[in-house]
Amino acid sequence: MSVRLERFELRAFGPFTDTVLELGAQPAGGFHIICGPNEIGKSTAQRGIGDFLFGIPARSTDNQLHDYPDMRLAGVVIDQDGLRHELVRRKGARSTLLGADSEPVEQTLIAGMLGGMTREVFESMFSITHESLVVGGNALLAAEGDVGESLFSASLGANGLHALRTELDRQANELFRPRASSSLVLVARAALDAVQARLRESTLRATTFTEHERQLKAAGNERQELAQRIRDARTEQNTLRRLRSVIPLLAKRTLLREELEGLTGAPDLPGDAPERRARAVERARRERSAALDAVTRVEDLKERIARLAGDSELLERELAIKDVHGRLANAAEGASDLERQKVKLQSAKDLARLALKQIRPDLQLEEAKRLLLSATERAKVDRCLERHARLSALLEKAQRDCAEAEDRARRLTGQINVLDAPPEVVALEAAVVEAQGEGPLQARLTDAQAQLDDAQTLLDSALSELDPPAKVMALRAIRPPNAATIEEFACQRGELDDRARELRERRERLAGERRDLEEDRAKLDLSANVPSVEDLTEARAERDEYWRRLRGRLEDVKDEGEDGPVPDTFEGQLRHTDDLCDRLRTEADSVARGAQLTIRQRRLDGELEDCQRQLDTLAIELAEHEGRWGKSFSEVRIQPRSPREMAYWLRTRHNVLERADALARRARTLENESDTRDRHLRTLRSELTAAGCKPSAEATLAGLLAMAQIALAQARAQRQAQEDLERELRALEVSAGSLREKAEEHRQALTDWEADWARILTANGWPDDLDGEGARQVLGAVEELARQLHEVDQLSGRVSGIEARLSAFAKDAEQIIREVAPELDSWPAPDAVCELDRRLDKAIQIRSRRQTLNERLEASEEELKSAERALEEAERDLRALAGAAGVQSNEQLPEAERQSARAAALRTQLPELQTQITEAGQAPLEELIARAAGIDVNALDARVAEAEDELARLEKQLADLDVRLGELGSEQQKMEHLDGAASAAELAEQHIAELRALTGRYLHLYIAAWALSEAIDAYRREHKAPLLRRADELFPRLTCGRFVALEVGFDEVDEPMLVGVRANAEKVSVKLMSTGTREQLYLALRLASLERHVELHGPMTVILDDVVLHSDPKRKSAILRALADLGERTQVIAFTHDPHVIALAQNTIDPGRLVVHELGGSEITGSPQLKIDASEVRPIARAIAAWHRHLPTDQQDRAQRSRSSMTVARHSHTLGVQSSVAGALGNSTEGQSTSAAGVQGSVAHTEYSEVIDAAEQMAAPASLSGMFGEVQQESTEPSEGESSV
Amino acid sequence: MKFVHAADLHLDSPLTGLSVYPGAPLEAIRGATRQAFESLVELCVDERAELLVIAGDVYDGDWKDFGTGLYLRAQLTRLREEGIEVVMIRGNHDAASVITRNLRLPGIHVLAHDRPSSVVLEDLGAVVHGQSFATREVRENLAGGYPDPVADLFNIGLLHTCLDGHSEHESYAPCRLGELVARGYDYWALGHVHQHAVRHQTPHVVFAGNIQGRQIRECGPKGATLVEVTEDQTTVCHRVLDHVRFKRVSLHADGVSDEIELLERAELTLRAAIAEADGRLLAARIEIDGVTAAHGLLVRERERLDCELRGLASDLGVEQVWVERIQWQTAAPSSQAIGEDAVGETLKVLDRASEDPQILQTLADGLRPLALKLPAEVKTGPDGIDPSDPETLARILEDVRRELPSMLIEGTPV
Repeated sequence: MSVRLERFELRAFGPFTDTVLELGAQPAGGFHIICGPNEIGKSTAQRGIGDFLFGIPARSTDNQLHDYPDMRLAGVVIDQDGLRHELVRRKGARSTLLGADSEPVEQTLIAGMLGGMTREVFESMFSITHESLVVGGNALLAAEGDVGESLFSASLGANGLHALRTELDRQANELFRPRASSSLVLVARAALDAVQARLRESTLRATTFTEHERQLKAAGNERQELAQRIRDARTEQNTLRRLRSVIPLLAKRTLLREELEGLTGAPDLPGDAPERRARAVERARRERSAALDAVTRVEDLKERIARLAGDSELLERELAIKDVHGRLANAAEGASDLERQKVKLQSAKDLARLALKQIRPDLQLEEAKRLLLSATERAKVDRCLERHARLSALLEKAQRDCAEAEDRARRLTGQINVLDAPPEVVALEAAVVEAQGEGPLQARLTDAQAQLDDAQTLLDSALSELDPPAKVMALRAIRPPNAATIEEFACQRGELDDRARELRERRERLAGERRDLEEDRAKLDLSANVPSVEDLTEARAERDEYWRRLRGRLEDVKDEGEDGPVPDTFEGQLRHTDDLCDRLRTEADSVARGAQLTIRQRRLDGELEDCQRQLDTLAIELAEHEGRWGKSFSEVRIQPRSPREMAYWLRTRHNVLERADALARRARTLENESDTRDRHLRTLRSELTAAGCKPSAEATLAGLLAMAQIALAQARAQRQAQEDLERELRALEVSAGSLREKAEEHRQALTDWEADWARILTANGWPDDLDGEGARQVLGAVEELARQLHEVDQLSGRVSGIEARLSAFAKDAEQIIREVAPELDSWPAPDAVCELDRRLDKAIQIRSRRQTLNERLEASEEELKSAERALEEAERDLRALAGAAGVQSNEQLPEAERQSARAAALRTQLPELQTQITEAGQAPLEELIARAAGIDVNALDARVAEAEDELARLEKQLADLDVRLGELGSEQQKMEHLDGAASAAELAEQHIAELRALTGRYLHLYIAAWALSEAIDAYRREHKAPLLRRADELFPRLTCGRFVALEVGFDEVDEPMLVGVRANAEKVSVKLMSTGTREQLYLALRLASLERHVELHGPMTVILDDVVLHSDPKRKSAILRALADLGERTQVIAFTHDPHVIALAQNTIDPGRLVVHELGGSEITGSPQLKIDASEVRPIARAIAAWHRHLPTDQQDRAQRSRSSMTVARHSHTLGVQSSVAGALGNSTEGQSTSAAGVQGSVAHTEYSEVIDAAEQMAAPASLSGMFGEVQQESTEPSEGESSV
Repeated sequence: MKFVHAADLHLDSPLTGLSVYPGAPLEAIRGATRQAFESLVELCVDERAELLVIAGDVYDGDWKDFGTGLYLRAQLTRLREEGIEVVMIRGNHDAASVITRNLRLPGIHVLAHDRPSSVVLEDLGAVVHGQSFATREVRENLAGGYPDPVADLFNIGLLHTCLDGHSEHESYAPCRLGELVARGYDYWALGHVHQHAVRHQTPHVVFAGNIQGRQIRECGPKGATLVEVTEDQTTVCHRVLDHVRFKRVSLHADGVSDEIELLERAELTLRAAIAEADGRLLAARIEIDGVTAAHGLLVRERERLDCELRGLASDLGVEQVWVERIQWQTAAPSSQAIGEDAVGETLKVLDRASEDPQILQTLADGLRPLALKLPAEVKTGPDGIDPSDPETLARILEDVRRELPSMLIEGTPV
């Protein structure tokens, strides 16, 4: 793995075009500084190096000047074997790497040189920027100089290691901390628990539903009975109601029949007779009025038509007059255009004559057309000329290629003649192939041995889990029940336990209910000694007994068993029975409550008994189950524990047996592999000896294979080289022959062409010596002539057309005027035509008006006739109506109509009333009349009221029952459509998935943090010594001796920490170092890591960007020297915008160890332009040193610093340099013109390093660096007083 | 005659592996198994089928909610009202279910579990033979005892079996294909294996598969088999009924240079997957693999890209896609440059850990506080993740091995 750039070209990239950086001067790569002012494209160039090595990104922004397809980067790369590769990188999706011949090159070529590094890895490890130094320094501070982390971080080049570790811890803590209930895992766990509780609550148990279904069925039966009773009551009620409603209807019927008999003589008129009469009268009135209006209008219109008169002659010639008038405007325009066209025609003829004169001055214009060429003739001439050019070029190329091929063939023949014949290695190759076909035998042997050991360990571990312990053989011999059986037992046992638990719970619930019931009964008994129906029955029996005795005594039947005073006793018993009856009635609620309690008690007792019975049965089943369980292990002679434990025992046994089998298998594998290896060793040794090699007796299989591979590769390479040369020679000979034939063909074609050309010259009458160029000029002149002749033809046609149109118009106008208005004959033709048109328009208007009036007259006459007809019809209708009613006049018609209508209404009402009666009574009319005859209406009302009450009571009961049924039904329906449990289960699964995701993420973070911590420790152990040794050398150099060593100290918890050691042996922890020093410490570690990488893996180009930006000049020099040292081992390319850094480098580093390039320009050999004599710089350096010495702690020092800054400003003016120093010292570019107080205030806020930087920019660095050495010495001695400078 | 063959309904069995994220179509996945079953009922009605045979596993074994049974009864009542006969057997899950013991299914033929029995459907000219599972585990060959075929009737064998073995399903009621073919029946309606398969033609031996996939391992279209019998031939057609479609969506990141390109590829792939789901809700596991130079970026922006991909899925099909999981398995091009350095050291640590049981055990011990807080459901099952299980940790070590180098170089955690 190695990359060194000998040359790098920005051919078409960003703002660059064909910019070349020659980087090949130094043998190991060297130290290169590439400089250029801001905005010149340094960042682009840096990016270009990355793009060249790794490819141009799809969305590159470096296409300002060159489009994506044109973007190109190129370079010469030297690989680990010192081979040069000329490569070009283009932008694209594939085949973006090209060779020098523009043929695609595999990306693997460059990837191999880079060791497969990604761009990120490269930029992280081999690129150092100013920002990365700042961040690296801060990271050292954050890690408080932890040795492991510092070395690890510097090795990576990535600066976020500490932040990464902190972030990993933070995210992991956010996900899970055992006692933080707000951590995400525990929150999700709580949510899952809540959902699972909801799932349990919303699960509908089978028993709940069965009980509910039973209740629903009972309520359904009850409803059926009640509905039947309601139907019966409703029938009775309806019968009574119908009778009550029929009686008034029958009375009405009688009245109507009597009225109808009174209207016997009334006429029978149609129903619409009154409307018809009214319509006829109204119509007669309306039509009479319309007839009068129409007569008046007709007379008025006839008079107006008579008053209109027009010119019929003009109207007959209407079309001819309009035509002539329409052409008038065109005629006027044509007359003016005619003159223009004649002028154009003359001009075109002149131009045509001119063109003809160029070709054939001897010909007239009329003869010119025969000189023109047709399109076919013209194309033929063009083709002939093109063919000549093509054939000449082909002949030349074929002759050149043929000569090259013959030359190359001669050289190859010479090479082939000096080659040796390759040796025979077929048997050796076969032996190698066979040995390789076995795969990595040695590794497999080692692996097999390790697997054997592992298998033994696993077996031992599995055996140790067996309780009680047993040997493998013994375990294999026994046949315990299978897992399914044990699982079956476990399930059965689980079910039995579940059932037992459910039954016990039920028994406890029932017992609880029984206790509650007894409590209720006690309360009831205490509150009132309520008699029961049984008490009454008993009292009645006793009373009857006493009555029987009393009666016997009254009848003198001696009762042997009783001597007491029976009448008194009977009387007492009678009263007691009566009392009981009364109390049963008055305390009915308590009695009912007592009865309910009794029923409930019986039910509970029954259920309790049932429950106990089931528990007893279950106990028997449990015992049987235990018995079967014990029996299933009797053959194994093991006293089984619980099914779950035995399942684990069974799995462990299975595990042991599997592992024992695996052990045996692996032992066999090891033996087979060993035999195979020995066989191959023998064969290879024998074949190598035959091939002339001398293998040692101790050589391993891998060693023999390697030796055989080398021998084979040598033989193959030799054979391949010879074959390649021969193949190439054959191809060249064939190619040369073919090229010769081609050349001859082209020569023959040129001869044919000359004959064709002679024919064309003759045909067109062109000179015999006319060559190609002459022919092209003649062709151009002929084209121009053709264009002008065409123009002449067009214009001639246009002039004749205009003249013909003008003549036709004059003739037509004269004729129409003569025919229609001879009095206008003397007028000019256009005026006469206009007058004629005006007269015609007037005649047309009169004709149109008369036509409108005639139409209106016809309409009015038609209206008059229509009104007269309608009047006649209306009078005829009125006469017909009077005839039908049998009256003499129209005035008698209304009364006749009234009588007729009433009789008709009665005849309609009577059948309807009868229908109404039969429908209301639900019986034939006669039957209803008979039934109603004997009924008392008042008694009927009372009976209907009773029936309604009964029905209402039953319906209320039914409604209550329906409510209950509805509730039960809806509850059941709800149960049938419940999916609450399913939803909760889905939600629970979602929470489980979330918990798994959170857990997975936590495990990632935990393991990443753990691995990182382990890796840091391991890296520290492995690399601490060499890295720290080198960093210890670099750190004092980079700090210019401010620190003399870098050591490992220990913090308060004994963690190893980096500490810097000062010259006075004071140890400074990373925390107490200044920002700049920390950055230099980080740089020292980075450079040490890079050197170690180069040592281990080979050289690799390192890219730096403004790494010395904020260092003082001495430290800058030290850093540049360290980079030059690194350049001795690997290529170092540093970018900077600062010309002063270049000057510093050139004055600090040996010229042979540094190359400076100006971006967009050439290599810089001299110093930068800012050159000032040392004597001029001295006062500035002195002033700056003084400024530095006087820290702004008190008023006096501040004044001193102010004076120093003003001295710097004054001198910079004297030197004629743009005073950036003054700017840095407090914007006092005006020098002394700025007030002292203003400068003073600004200086107080100015950093020392800025002053130094600014001073360096205005002064020659060689002088200034020397100057600082002196000034620093002066600063330790008593000051001469800055006022003097 | 036309009949429908269905199996493995697993009613109210929840869909697993779907963790909630903003924009996830929560409502759309509710009651997926019920909706699929209602589609089955509609298929029977729409196709005017005369018979529905169900080859077992109507419920999930450990599901106790009786509401599921009531729901089943309501749907079967609808079929009965449409004049469609229903014959079913109980599978291993039904045998273990408490619902089975308590639910009456009037008018439905549930075949006995103590012996093989037959239901003759004279009007249809068919007879259905079968035997239910008596217990959760039936290891003996039930098909061996099935009755001889009845002459002049179309003989259907209804059997819940693993047939000749299936790696993903328990080996219950095993039998051989040849044995079923030789039995003389016209159609074998099988259940238990959740993947639809026609194992033999003439006579047909068919696994209907389940009607609704419930996890990522039950990918692809799910449904029932519609069988049409004429005098000349028996035509079999599988009809899709699922409401939610599980699918593994592979996204190859080979050669991807940045996230925009990745998202563009993802959009194309997701669009195709949505179109394939044909209007159903797609439960997609997006599996991203491939070697890419953008691996570092993909690791660094993992959480944001997860959100981007979920958002993209939501944008492409509102209420149509649920991203079940995004599985990142991209890798950076291999690099020799990180052999001896800090990254190489880290990789060595991880490699050592995944090979050394003792280290794995130490890690597991460190994670025991977390393991104790997790319920068993999270730790067990095919997708379970148990922090105290060395195998799980070895798997995670592999993932960390792929990601940690990029985190180190670019300084950002996963």
